[in-house]
Amino acid sequence: MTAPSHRLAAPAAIARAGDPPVAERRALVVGASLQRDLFRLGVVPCVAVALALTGWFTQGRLATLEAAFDAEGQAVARQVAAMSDLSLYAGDLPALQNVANAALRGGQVTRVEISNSAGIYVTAGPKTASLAQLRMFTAPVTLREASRANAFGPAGSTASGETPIGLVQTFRDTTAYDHERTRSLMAGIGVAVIALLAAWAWVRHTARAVAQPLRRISRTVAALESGRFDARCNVVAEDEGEREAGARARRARHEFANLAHDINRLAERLQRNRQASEDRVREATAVALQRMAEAEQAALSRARFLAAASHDLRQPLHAMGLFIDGLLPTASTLQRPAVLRLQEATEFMGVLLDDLLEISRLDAQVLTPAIDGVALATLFDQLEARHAAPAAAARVRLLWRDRGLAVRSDAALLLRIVGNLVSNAVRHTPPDGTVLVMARRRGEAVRIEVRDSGIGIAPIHQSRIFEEFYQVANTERDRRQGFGLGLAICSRIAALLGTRVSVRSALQAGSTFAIELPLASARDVVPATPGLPAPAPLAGLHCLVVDDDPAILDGSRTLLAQWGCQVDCASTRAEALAQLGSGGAHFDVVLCDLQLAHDEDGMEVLAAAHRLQPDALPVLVSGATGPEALQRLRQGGVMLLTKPVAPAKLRALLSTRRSTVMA
Amino acid sequence: MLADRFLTLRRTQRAFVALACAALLCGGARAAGLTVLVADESAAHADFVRQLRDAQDADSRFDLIHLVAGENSPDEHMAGPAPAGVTMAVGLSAARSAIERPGQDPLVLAMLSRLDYESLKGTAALRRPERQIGVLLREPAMADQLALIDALLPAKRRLGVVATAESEPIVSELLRAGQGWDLQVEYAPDAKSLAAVLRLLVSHSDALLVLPDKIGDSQAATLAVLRAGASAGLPVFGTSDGLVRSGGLAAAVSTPGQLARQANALGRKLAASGTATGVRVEVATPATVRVNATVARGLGLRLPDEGELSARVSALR
Repeated sequence: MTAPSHRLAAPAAIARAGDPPVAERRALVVGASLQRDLFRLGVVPCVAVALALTGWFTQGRLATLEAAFDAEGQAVARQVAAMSDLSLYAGDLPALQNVANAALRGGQVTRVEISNSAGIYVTAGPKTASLAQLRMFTAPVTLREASRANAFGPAGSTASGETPIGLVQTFRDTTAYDHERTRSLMAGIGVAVIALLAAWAWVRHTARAVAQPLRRISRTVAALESGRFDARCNVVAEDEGEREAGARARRARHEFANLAHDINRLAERLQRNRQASEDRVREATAVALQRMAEAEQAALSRARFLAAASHDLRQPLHAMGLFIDGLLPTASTLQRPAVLRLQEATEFMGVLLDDLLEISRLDAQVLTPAIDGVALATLFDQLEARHAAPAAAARVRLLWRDRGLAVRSDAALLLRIVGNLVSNAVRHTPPDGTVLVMARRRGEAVRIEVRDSGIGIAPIHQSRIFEEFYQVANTERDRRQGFGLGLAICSRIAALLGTRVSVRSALQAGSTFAIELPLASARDVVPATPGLPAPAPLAGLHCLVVDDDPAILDGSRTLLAQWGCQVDCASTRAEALAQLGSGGAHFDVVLCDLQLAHDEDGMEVLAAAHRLQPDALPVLVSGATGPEALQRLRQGGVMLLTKPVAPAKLRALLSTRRSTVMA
Repeated sequence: MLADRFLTLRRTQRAFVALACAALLCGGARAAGLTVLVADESAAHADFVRQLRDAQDADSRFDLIHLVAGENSPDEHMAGPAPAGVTMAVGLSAARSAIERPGQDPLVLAMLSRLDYESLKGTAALRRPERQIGVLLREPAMADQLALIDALLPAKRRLGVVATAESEPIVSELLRAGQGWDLQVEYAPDAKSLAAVLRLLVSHSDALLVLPDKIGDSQAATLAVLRAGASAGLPVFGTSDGLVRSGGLAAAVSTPGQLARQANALGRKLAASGTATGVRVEVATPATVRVNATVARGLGLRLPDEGELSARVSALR
């Protein structure tokens, strides 16, 4: 028995201090049900005890029967021996016969034989053929002194003769004894069966009485575990009522009642805690909702501010751009540098407003990416066409490694991200440096990296470069180095595409910006759209400009006129529709401001224009950057030019329209 | 209930006395013959009477009178002349009745033991000088017993005897006859308290002798002596057949036929003498020897047969 305990003790000794004991780690296998276990627990000892007691008593009873049977037969033999001692000594056969016959008359024995070595042989009783039914008892015949054969004689004096003078044999029929033995056995078995049945009934009743409250307690605990804290365990002690009447403070005496009482108290506490928790959650939720509403309101206010600021700034900037472009051809030599500076400043302001508008759009989450297969070769070609000139100007070598991969993404947004990263890399790479744009496959994803050999970014800045207007090493805020919004926009677009922009950089070791996108198969790649048609001369293009701002109307008319276009202007919706519906004029392009005076909507004007002259190209010019407005414009599907409109952009658009018309 | 029995007993006695007197008167009228009075129905007495009648001459008168209450009429009358009229009482009860009655005819009191006789000796009627009375004791003389023992155990002289106070006459006779014997006589308080005496005797005796006293008449006492002797390996001698059958080695006894013949002879002697000479007492003689061969074998003794022993005992007389 000690060996297993040593084997268990050894791993326990080397177990770590924090680990639970081995016995607790090992799962305890329990039986089917507690009631069955209790039943076994009660019945097995009862069966064992009943069987043992029955066996013991039956064995004792049988032994008593056996002993009584033998004692009776032996007593008769001894009695006959005692009665026949002198007669056997004297050879008194009649007397011996009388003794034998007298012994038979008692009925205990069926046959008596008295004999000695001198030839005396006296028998009484029939000689039964089947000796198997007879049991023989013998007693030696010894001479005894009559005076000593009394109850008050000294010890050891009952038999004076030591040498037997003869032998008495008595025979008992065992039939009755066997019947009695069988009867005793059956009685023992019957008693055992009755005891077992009684034990079975009692243990079953007790087991049920024990298991039922436990089952009820278990159900209550399960209900509590499932969150129904109003569940209660209705298990009470027998004298619970009296106890409650007498002293409510006293605890129930029965353990189950105590347990149920404790569980009920626990349930009440849980219910109270849950109620309190729910109240707190409700309050916190209300507070959170309020704060969310406030945050949303703040975001809306911010977006409205940006939109309003952008619109309000774009309007004059747009006009400024138009006038400056109009002034430039006619400017004198002295005026021209100033006009050029003015034009550059206007362009910076436009870029800044574009970035602000972009962030506003992204924060408004009005953009829904159009995911499709994008061939990186095509993407890189477009990027190269855009950045090759600036890179060459900066004497930065620009390398592209697409490796024939394709990704699933929004082509325009991806172009915006990578372009921004390439632009930053070119800007921060010293002359004769290298910017490498490469794609690598990583399992089912493609990692696009933009590496430069620039000065690198200190670790302290790496976590902040994606914040708005955060710039490293541009404390003088040189606007030619950007406004610090590019990476912020990249980060937002990456989030919109389901990825993130990672950076790895070290001072004087260059920087690597990377994004990871899902791999796309070649089948999913949309063929590259043919390049924009070459700008066509705009002479003769009939344009209708609708804007409530007279300055813009004048600027637009002047610019378009310089490009050779035929320009008509309208300041209200009615004027525009009148011109469109006059029937005498056919317009190729309708340029309409979104927000007209008197709350007239540019979208409605364009919709009417489309009805009146379906061939005219509707272009909406808007400075509004509010989320609602952008969402509405996106859903309207009209071509949008945001103020301030770069004259080059407008010219490119009109050139496209012109080539379409000519085609 | 006790009073009723007493009255019945008184009436029975009166009827018994009246009938006895009538029978005697009637017998006296017929002159010579034998009148036998019997007061009980014991087997020994019946056998004695039968032997007595068989020994009677054919022409003698034989009257048998049962003195039992209710059956006391003379039922047998042997016709024929008798030399003299003799009355013979069988047993103690009949003897008491006979000696109390008036009459001059010779009276033989037969089948009395020594102690019976001793109990009658004190009665006044037995000492009547005008009547001839003879007493025949049923046991042989102590001398015959000693002769038998001597014949069986010639080298053994220590004879143990257990007696009671009432046995004194027999013991006296034994002592008188036991010259040359080492008699170990021990007295027990009564016939039921023999243990201590027997334990003392068996260690100092070569043989035990049961006297015809209360011990010899008591089966339990006799068996006690027999057991003591058997367990100690001592031979036991006695005066009755029963003792021999029950474990005694041998006994000198008198048979009913022998006693009948001796009683007849005694009666004739009394009738022939004609004058009263007091009570004449005879013991049974010659004695007949009874031997238990089984006991003898058990004791390792080789004995002659009973006839030879009887002859040897009778020869000593």
